[in-house]
Amino acid sequence: MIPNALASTGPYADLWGYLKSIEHALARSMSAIDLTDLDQDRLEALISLLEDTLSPEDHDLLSDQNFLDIIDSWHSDYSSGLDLRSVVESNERFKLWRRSSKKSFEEDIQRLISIIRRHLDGANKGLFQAPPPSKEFEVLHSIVTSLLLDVELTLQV
Amino acid sequence: MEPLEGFSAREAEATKSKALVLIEKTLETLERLDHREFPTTTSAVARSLLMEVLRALRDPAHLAPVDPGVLYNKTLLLQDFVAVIERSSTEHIPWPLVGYCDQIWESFFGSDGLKIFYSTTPKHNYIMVRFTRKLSKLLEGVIPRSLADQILNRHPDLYCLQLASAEDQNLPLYANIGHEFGHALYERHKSDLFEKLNAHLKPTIAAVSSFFQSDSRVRTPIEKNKLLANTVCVLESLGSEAFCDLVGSLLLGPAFFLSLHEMSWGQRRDVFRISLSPQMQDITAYPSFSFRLFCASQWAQISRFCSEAQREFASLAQSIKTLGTTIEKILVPHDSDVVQVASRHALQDAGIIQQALSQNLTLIKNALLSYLEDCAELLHEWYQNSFLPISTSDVSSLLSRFSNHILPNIIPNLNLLGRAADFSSILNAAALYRLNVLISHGTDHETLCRQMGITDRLTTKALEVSFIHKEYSVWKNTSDEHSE
Repeated sequence: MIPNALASTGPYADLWGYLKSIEHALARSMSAIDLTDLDQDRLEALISLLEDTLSPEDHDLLSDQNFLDIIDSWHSDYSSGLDLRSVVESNERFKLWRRSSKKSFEEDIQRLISIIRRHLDGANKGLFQAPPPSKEFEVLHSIVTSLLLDVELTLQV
Repeated sequence: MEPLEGFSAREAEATKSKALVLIEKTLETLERLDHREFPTTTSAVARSLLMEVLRALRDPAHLAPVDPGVLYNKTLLLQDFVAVIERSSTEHIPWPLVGYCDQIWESFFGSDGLKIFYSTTPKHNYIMVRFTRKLSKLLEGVIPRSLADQILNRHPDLYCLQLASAEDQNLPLYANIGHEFGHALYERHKSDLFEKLNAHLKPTIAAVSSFFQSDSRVRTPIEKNKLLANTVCVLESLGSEAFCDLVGSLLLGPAFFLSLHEMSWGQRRDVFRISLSPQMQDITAYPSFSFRLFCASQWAQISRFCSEAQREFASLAQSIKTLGTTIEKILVPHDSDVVQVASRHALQDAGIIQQALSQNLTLIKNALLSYLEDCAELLHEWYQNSFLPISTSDVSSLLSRFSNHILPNIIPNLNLLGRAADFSSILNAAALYRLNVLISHGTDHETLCRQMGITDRLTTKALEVSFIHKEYSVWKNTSDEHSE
């Protein structure tokens, strides 16, 4: 058999498509193209992924009296299927980018999220679309590419 | 011709072209389908929805920002949707069955709300698919969410009931359909049912949470939350499967119990099977067959049926007479059940969740049992006329006809013509008679096949004739009222 992610089906193929489309939107953003609705959707998806998996919020889920709330907040995203933290922590570009940072891991992740948000806000205001900060978008692109590789390996199993 | 050295830059374009060719071919396939072969008009609605999605995908305005690889992958995934519509054909799905199923569906959802269409699956199983929702999920990453919603909202919300094609002659096993209808009911009443499940599972969730708290492998609050969220999804999935079994049991009684039992043949029945997924909504969790059969026997009133059968089946042939009373013995104890959790991506998480659930299995089962009590009450309140007890006397009359190879479509009464047997009575009699055939002929394959063939044909025909008979009775009553 010749492995082919493009021809895969099942939940891991869904995850592959989810990440690949985010990776593509990041690459398009870096090419200083005006963001389309789809690009914005995918960047929003990246924000959710980072927030859900790496956000500093550590409130105990058990304090949610209704477990419907727990399901609502986790049900439709992929954060439970990815070991995002260890992928991010071991990413060379990410390490290089935050080498001089005195902030915590979580705060640096928040910094990345704010940068995507600012870029999206610019697009929504209909102004001339400035290119995003290349360093940060390259870091994000590199993280998503590593995640994709992990998923492609899982698809082969 | 393009030099090969320059091809890498054109790879994206070539991939996109491959996808476009596939989209065109898929549209042609859908256009070629003969709508007269669809079991109901809802299959045509599903086809038109799918065609609209394909046209949106090939629209140059939407193509530009799409990743070509993702587009190609999604177009391949769409082939499954196309296959479902292609298999939605009267050639494989008996129309009386569809007629009866539509009646049940309408009794739950009315005629204007959710829509259902019928197809088959090559899997040895019965599957209720939320067609529209599944399609919506597939469109993520290739079409902006707002556009996808626009397209999907122009059509009714569609479900697809897929029947096991390997069993398309085996009508009694259709009792599993009762369980599948349960999935649609569960979605409809999710918030009420969640409230009940939440109340019953609170102690379990607290116990599981404290297990995670004390486990040294769980290092951070985020990890603990992730495990807890996964576990809650598992419990919710167990609750939904138990609810669907309840619906199947209430709708079709012993026939559902027997078909659930048949689905368990050849497998370990003492395992709660759970499979984690990268997306929590795709987690699957099934209670053990032994526990499910235990619950189904309660709600299908197997004890009542068996004790009545002792009296009602007294005049039937010896082998069938005893069958009525021995189905109770199918039950196996569920006190030695175990939990198995599998995962391709999170082996450690799977191990931790398996331990947590195993330690609390009795708590979980008790919660599910009390939850089902509440659900049964709610179901009777919401759908007063949909869940009627199975009449052992009717089943006995039909069994008598089965054993004499007479069409089991009529229940004798004082009227010379008798009254039309209902769907559930025919299915129950067929399930019992078929079981009798399967266990009575040893390795005499010729007799076995002949008897099975007769049973299947009698069942199909009885469903057909009784359906027409009932339709006729409704028409007759209405026309009599008008003429008065």
